[in-house]
Amino acid sequence: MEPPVDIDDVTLSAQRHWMADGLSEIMLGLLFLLIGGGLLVKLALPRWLTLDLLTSALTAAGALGLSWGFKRLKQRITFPRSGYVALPEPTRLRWLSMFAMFGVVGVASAIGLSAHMVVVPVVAAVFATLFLWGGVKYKQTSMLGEALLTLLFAVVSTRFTKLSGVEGVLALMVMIGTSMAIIGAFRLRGFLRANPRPQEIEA
Amino acid sequence: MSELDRVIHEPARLTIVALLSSVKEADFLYLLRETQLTKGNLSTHLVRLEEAGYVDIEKTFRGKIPMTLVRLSSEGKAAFHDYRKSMKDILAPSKMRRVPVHIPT
Repeated sequence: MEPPVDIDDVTLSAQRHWMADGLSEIMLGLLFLLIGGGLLVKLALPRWLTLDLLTSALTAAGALGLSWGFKRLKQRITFPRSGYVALPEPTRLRWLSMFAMFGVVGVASAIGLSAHMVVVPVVAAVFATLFLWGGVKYKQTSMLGEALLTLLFAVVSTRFTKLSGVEGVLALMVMIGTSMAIIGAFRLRGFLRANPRPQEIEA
Repeated sequence: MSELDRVIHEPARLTIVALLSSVKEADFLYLLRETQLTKGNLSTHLVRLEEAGYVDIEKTFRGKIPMTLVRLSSEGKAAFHDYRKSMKDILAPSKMRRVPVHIPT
């Protein structure tokens, strides 16, 4: 006796639905661009406290603006076309594991950077693994493409540019962010074509 | 053999409950697209689930457009959990039967 439907697959469909419009990729890509680009600019500018504060404030404001814009776009573009769905709030365990993961990556990067180790390939491998995991779990071909692009960017960055250390990682973030935003834009175009806005019926 | 909940075991309702189990709430349009049911069929199944106390249905508005929000109730979550557990119990012996048996000669 088998269950009448594939329950495990059905329970993942909400996450697939959430990613189907490409908006998540665009927003995440822009966030990467903002953080990577913002910090690169900060490194290039003279170390004045006012400039430091200004770039930090602009980056934080940009991140908040992206979050607000993402919600607005979901409401205006996605929900009227393919339905409204609210994902559950992350559990305390999930928050803790996320913080732990970022902590481990942060500490490992800091140790690697202070020891002048080659961190770009390591960071690229972490990102590529995450994309690969997401692509396989949620059946997202674009994420598999992003995993490959991330590795390609790491090769290009280490072999053909002089960027290394912090600058190298930030440049990698900018490249990943750009590719994600472009792929997301193509996916959004496909989503809009496949899901025209339903016409309102006048009474 | 564990007893299966007949309300949930029906394929369309199982799909609806499985969909709702992974979200906080969803609207009628989302369920309609994901289940591939007709509006009438989906409504009927939702009413059946609501009568069993497994879903909460809220009629609201998004701007001027009417919107039907559906979420799994705590009874629904418990029933779905029990259903999955029962299904595992049923499937476990059939998996054991597939294990090759070595007969000494």
